[in-house]
Amino acid sequence: MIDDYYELRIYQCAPGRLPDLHHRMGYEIPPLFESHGIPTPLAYWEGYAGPYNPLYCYILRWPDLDERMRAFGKFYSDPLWAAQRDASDCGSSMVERIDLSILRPAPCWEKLKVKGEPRPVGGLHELRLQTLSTRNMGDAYQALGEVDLPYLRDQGAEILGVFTKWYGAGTPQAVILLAWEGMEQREAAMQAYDGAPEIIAKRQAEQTQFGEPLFGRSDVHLMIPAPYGVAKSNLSA
Amino acid sequence: MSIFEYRFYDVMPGRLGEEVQRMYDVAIAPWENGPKSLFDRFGIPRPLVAWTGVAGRRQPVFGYLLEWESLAARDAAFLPFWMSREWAEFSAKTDDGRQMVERIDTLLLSPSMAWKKKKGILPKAVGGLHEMRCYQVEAGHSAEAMDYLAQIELQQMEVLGGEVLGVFDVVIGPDMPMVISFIAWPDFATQQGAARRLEAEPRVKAARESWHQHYGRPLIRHVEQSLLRPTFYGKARTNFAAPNGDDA
Repeated sequence: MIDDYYELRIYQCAPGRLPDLHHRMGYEIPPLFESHGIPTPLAYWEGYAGPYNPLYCYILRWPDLDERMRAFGKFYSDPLWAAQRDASDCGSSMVERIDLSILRPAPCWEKLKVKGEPRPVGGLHELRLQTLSTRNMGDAYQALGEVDLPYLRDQGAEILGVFTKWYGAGTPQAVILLAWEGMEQREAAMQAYDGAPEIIAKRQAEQTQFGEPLFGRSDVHLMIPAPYGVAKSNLSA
Repeated sequence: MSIFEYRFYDVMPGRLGEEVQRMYDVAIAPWENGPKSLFDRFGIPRPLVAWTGVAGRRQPVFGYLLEWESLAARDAAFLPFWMSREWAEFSAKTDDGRQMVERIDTLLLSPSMAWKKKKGILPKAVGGLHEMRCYQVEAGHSAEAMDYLAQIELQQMEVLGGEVLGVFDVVIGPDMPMVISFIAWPDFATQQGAARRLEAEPRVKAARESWHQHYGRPLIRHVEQSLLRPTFYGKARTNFAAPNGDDA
């Protein structure tokens, strides 16, 4: 039985409403979530660099998806939430677009986890939505776990999470969360990654073996942790 | 009168560095020891800027901007280039058995009313981190929307440390009516800080409230953004002036 799911919620915030949304998510919502059995989110982010702008994002962990449906159903039908939402919306919605997906930990994540006590991970976070070939997905995850992600880790990235998209748009898709010290480190790493002989050789070998690339395109979101909910190592609770 | 062509490539993962080099080799570098590049020989202008994607959709991406006198001139130059033996051989050699570029978007752009060019200064290279902002404009209200962009949003970005490189109306492309602005920032922190402060700017808020009151919807919606890093040979110059080779 599967008992480990993650829910990734990406919002495009209405222009000018990000401070209001931070207030809602950081201070108004937590007691309501708690009263309906929705777990405390593992991390919250904002971002002004990527397709959703301004972006607001958070991630939750669920042992049971039916329980998730019940809990959010109760939350959405709660008159308290409706009243609170209408009051803080002030006549127009804070959120313009919502992209929800359910993720499962990718098998290769386990070996990449950071050892030791979980600690908050600051800096610049990166959400990579990496499209995979519809065939040979297992090989793609194996390459991520054995070649690509260890390479990026050696360049300074901390692996916050590696997932496979379970429900949502654009599958098969690997969802990767990385933490960097800052933009300079990240750009130097990406530049090295792009020209790295071992990565190029690996891609060529994959092309030869499978007759097509294992990896497609990625949407890349750069995100800043929100102060009231900074991700911990390995997205620990 | 000129028209701009924005070419945007989806590059195969792992091959962005090769694509950057390939463009340099055909557009800039002397071809076969001659004095001119292959682009020069075919009458294709040097790119006004060439970028690689840092954040945004469909990474890895490579983009560049060309300025043409006319579309007839464009076809008279590009078509023979594409049909040429030189390009066929060079692209096959550099593809190395696998395609390097998976998809190409070609947008035709014309300078927008919201683009207030800098006057009285000599163009110079503008490096840093570039931001591309795509705005969906409510049809039938473009004059008012352009006025807002020029007088408030873009002006404010300059106050906050950005340099407006250019603002264009999309003439041919998806999701029209659309306006695209390109802004140069010294670094990522300045860009993020400016975005945050722009959201809180009273004149920006006032404009949005006024649209909401008058029309019940925004006249201009920021729909898509990406961050771009200029390549070593393709820095933009002030006002997207043509490169002169002095400050490359």
